[in-house]
Amino acid sequence: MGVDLSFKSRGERFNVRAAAIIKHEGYILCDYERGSDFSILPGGRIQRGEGSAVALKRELAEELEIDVLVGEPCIITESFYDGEQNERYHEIAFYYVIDRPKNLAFSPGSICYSHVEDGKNFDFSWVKATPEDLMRVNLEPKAIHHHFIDLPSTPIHVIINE
Amino acid sequence: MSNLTFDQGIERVNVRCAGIIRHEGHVLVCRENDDDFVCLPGGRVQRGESSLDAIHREMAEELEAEIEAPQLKYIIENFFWRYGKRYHEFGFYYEIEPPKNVPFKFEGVCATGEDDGTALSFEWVPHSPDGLAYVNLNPHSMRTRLMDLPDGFLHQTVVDPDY
Repeated sequence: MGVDLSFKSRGERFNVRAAAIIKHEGYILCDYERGSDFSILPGGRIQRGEGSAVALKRELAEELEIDVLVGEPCIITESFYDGEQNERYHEIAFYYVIDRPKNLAFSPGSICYSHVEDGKNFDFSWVKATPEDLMRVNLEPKAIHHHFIDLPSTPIHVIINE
Repeated sequence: MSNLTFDQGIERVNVRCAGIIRHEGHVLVCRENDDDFVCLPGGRVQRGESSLDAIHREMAEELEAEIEAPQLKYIIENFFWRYGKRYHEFGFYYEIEPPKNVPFKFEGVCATGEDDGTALSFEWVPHSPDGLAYVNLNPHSMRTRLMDLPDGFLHQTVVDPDY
């Protein structure tokens, strides 16, 4: 069992994540934890000694039972924000564009897959990739919604200060 | 502020920024104490600090240089051993215009500095595979990267064979 790259000290947390931009017919796959007030893209924390691409492949297998090809990241962010439990987050995140695997149901507007991990329930849904819809599901980070909607043609690096 | 360095036994997670400073066919490198290798100038990113803020701060601290508009060239996920530790490092490499206050000379130390008790000396070395090999630039993979800087930036994952 690997160790997540997530380190806390004095109310601050440093975190490294890999996430998937999975788009299909104008929709994007979002991950919502029941009881929370925001959505994120599928993915998770990178573990010690693990590259971001390997981490994403592992996370998607765990969360969605899909086996995907991971190429090169399309967006890399350094984000600073207030997270849960009043923690100040410093996060590096690698976003990869992933082709929708055939065994991942495309069912716009309804939950296409649910997953339980550590007693938490996660629902995956196809959300229309428009500014209004991404705001409606409160997809984080909001600062790069426009990049999720119109994918950058070359990799970009974004610093997000909230 | 504290550095983004997290140790657990011999395992270290580290976030670093470095500057690629070129002038007249040379590259500025930094030697710590009397190490038998050199690195690109830079240092550890701190908690709550972006790599961009960190490169400005490091250049100010190490070279007393005010730099303008650093351009990101590489983000490297790097896995290697050094000083008896197994590193998982995130490196942000920025190209920087030569700071006006750093003298350009073809040979010898052009500037000195200090970082937490470590003596730093800076040299301009020929920007060629031989020149970078001669001064033993680390990491080795940076020698190739320096010869072929991308227009935008590249992301790479580099795992040393013995990691």
